[in-house]
Amino acid sequence: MKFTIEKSSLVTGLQRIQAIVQARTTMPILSNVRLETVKGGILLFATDLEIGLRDLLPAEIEADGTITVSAKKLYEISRELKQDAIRIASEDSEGILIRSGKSSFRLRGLPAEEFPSFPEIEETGRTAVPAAMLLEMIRKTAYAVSTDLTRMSLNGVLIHLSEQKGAPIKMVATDGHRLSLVSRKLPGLPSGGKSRKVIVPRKAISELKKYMEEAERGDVEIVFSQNHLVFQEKNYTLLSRLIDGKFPNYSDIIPKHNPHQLSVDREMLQGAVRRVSILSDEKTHAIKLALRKGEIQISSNHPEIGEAQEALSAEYQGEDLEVGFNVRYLQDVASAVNGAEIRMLFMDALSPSRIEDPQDDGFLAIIMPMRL
Amino acid sequence: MPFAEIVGQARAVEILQRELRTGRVPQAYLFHGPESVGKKRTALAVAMALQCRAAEADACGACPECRNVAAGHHPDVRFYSPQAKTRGAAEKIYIEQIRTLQQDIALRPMAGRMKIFVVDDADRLVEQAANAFLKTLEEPPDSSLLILVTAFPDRLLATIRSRCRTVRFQPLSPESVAAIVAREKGAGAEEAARLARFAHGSVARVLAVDYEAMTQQRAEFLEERQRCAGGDPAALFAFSDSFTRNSVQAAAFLEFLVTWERDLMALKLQGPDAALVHGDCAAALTREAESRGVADLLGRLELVEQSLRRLQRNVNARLVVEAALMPIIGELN
Ligand SMILES: [Zn+2]
Repeated sequence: MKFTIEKSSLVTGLQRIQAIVQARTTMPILSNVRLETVKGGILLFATDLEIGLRDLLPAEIEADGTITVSAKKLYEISRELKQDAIRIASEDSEGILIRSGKSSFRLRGLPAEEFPSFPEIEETGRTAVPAAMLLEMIRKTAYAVSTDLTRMSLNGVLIHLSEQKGAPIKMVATDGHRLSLVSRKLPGLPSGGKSRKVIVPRKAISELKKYMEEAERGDVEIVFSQNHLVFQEKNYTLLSRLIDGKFPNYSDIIPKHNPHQLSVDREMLQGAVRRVSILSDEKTHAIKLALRKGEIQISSNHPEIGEAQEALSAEYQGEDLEVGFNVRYLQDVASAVNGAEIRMLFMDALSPSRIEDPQDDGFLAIIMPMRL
Repeated sequence: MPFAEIVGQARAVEILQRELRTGRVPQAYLFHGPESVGKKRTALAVAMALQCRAAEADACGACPECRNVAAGHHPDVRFYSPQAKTRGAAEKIYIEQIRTLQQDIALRPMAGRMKIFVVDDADRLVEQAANAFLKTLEEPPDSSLLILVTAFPDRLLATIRSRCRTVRFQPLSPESVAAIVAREKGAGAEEAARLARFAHGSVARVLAVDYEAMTQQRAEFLEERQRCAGGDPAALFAFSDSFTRNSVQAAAFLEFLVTWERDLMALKLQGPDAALVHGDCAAALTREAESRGVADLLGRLELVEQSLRRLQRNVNARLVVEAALMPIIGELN
């Protein structure tokens, strides 16, 4: 193989796969990146056997070929090169020669045949989602994904696409203590025409998020199959194995008749919670919300260090109520709300609280209170 | 590896192939039976058969899927076996390994139709790992198959055993061992049969042994034993020294001694018709067997076998060999 590639393009492409090749694995070749010449460029492929990332980088191809080399070393080398044009050549599967200006590097490789191939995707349907919408949906749900390895079915985000015409796409995450749900109307119709519920592992979600945060992106094509989910945007293809498990039936968990409704300025609430949390118990992370007519009082109590409280005026007409929360859960959900106000609905001190964004009908969260 | 290459386990293979054909593969198998009779090979064959795209309820052995499974590269076939945490420590299956398995089993297959996890020497799961593994066995995902392999099923938690479909593997008949030896070592029929008797149903042992070296060792043993006869301790120590310059050598010597003592037992119990490893020394063996009682010979055999196990647990080689030799030499006078 022989090609010339622009430094910035190669560096960006290689940077995107660094998190994938660093995964601990029993197959040493997986720390390599597969390079393959195709029409108009170089196809990069890296996988940790959970997710796979394929990227087409524009390059001038002089001779075809395929090889795998250390993704980390190739990245470190490319990043440090001074010239804009990088020439890469290989004679056989032994390695590649990298030249740029007066620098040259010989990097050993492994034959591409030993590298796992990009799996065949038996597509069962697809839908296009604007990147900005997808990114927002991820930001509003990913925080609630469980990290408890004994409940793997919660270690990802549920993507739920209904077969009904005009039905929205939903994303849900929960760790058993809280749940976050966002639903959005799709501009186009999904193909495949049946209801789909898939659980996408956290790692794929976080890689996709990084990619979409890099720059403004167009529509992301989501391709469904029995075992995988594929996200495509232009030359970028992220593949993920799906979680093989049952996601809890979330509509059963959502409280529908919480009578006591609180509306409060979101930023004021966030500020008060941040201040009061300084003296919350570092073991329980508990803070208390005391609700009175027209007011809430937020307080914390550290048995050894001291206590804090702050009062906020709020819209509240329900009965007096004291509810305890894990302060992080409250902060996370407040950051997921866009509007100026945050709405919380309570049943009593121990039933799940429902959190809404008055400016966004498509968002809904639940937090389990703490026993005080 | 196609099922046809599994030798001497016709019953197990028949059960497995029937379940593969009818699509009634359970979520977990427990393959148990004596050591090195083909349990792990069969697990590999099952994994291949499930991934193979060419053959039905079997592996073609040649397609990319089969080749990847054989090379240990298949993304949906994983092997777990005991590991030492630090050099020289006992090899166990630790909780970290089971956690990796749990994360992996929770995902749909990468390339194939199924995920297959082979846990070799499953009796060596540490307690914490066994308990975690039990959780996985209670609710394994649909697209997965767990295959536990062990020679000591009674050392597994009963709750683990009860959640697996057990498949029993037989000790290999001398004919089966001979067939494998003939294939792997290119030995002629007669030599293969002789090696097979030495193996006592264990293919690994027969493939590892250097028969020439063992014949040589036997000659030295018989000669040295004559010289030490009478139980002179100094002579005994010098003798065992000569066989135990390192633990590999000591193990080889004890392996030989086991076959010798087993031949004595066989002669004692079955008379001149017994199939002997050291058939070419029948006269010497018969003389020795006749001069000893059954209990006496059994005690010696047990001691030698136990010594071999102690050696595998890193007990000082010379002490082990000396202890094993003491009664054998001491009683020759
Ligand atoms: Zn095949």
